[in-house]
Amino acid sequence: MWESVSTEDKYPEPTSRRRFVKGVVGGAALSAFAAAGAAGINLTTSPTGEGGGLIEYYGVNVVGGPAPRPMPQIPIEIDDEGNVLGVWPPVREVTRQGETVAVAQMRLGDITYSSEWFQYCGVETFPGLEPTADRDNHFRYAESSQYDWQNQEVSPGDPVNVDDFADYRTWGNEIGQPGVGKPASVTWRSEGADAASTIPVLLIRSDRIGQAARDDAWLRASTREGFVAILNKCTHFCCVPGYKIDPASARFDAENEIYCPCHQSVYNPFTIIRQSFVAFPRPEEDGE
Amino acid sequence: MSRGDPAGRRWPGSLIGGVVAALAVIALVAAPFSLPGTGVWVYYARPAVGPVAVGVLAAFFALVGALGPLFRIWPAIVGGALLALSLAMVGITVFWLTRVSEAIVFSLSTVDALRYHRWALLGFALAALVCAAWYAGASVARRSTAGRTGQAADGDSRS
Repeated sequence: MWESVSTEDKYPEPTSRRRFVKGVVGGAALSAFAAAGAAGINLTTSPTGEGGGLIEYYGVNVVGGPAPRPMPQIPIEIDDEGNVLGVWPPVREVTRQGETVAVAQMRLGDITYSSEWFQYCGVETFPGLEPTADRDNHFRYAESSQYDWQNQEVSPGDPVNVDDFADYRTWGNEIGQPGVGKPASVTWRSEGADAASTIPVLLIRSDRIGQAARDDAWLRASTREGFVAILNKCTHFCCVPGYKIDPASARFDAENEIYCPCHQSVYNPFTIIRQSFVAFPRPEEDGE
Repeated sequence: MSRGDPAGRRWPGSLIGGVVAALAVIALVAAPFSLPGTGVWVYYARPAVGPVAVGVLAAFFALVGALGPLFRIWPAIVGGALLALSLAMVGITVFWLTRVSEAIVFSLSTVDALRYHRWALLGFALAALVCAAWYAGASVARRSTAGRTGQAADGDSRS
């Protein structure tokens, strides 16, 4: 006679350990699926937008505080009327990660100067950094300035002229020594942009730059008549530093330097060095 | 089929804690996307496997942890899955945060709390791992037939 055999007889009853192993295997499979999917998306697509990547640039040297790298310099030219402009390179098509993107790029001195120098801290989304945008390259005085001379002698929006800095060899305020350099808070390629999308620039005219340019090929190519321009976004959490605007800077031996009040980073505006950083990409929808 | 634990729809403290930690991981992964600019993608994409994968795993964790008891899946199976998911979350987070450049973090925005972001992500991933281990340990330690006597998955009888 056939003997009845129950399921329990053929298959041992599942234990918690077996169920646990089943769960681990399932969880591991899900994990592998998620990790492989994320890596695949990262490697095969470019969700980050256009351009960016490892870029070499020149900027003002960090001499104190937590800033990890120099703030980038903006090369300068002066037109026939004595107005001071920032150099904006011609637009070129370059291939990055298999995609052709537009980058404002040129050879200047011994380096490739490009719009990517300024792509960090959200500046990469500013309309003024759109390579193909036909914008005014004159430096113009900013709406709000912490320099008395700027508030009294020039108006916001005026183009910066060499004559405005005629007293740069003697200029001084209550902070630091006089005659080191005369600064101004200016904007660049930002006409019509809202305040949050205005490119902040620190412009300084100093004999120290003029003298350094005699012995330095890069400074000869990127500065004029002692003027140096810096994108004024601290590389340590994106504050807007200042030159001779904060009395507290003296506590950090920074009364004659560029001083960031947020975390006490200090940059020497007269020492320009070459360094590299990872530039952020421009958003893809930028297509003015 | 893994269903059928008569222990019922119980969410012990370890499970609730793990799900809360996973939700915190998801929130931390999502938070930097509110920043202006494109830096978050650079922050997350170097190296290729990073917080996005951790966020997906945390979502799986929360789903399994929340729905497992609801569908009466055996606690040991849920515990095993949660342990594997949380181990992967911690592993990927450690792999990423040891390779991401601090200079990129500094260049994201004026929000200086971001300096703690990656460590907070690791902290909550570890919390999820501890909760998952606690829950899985209690589930496995319990005899396989315990569920049939109506006992809870672990010592915590919260439901």
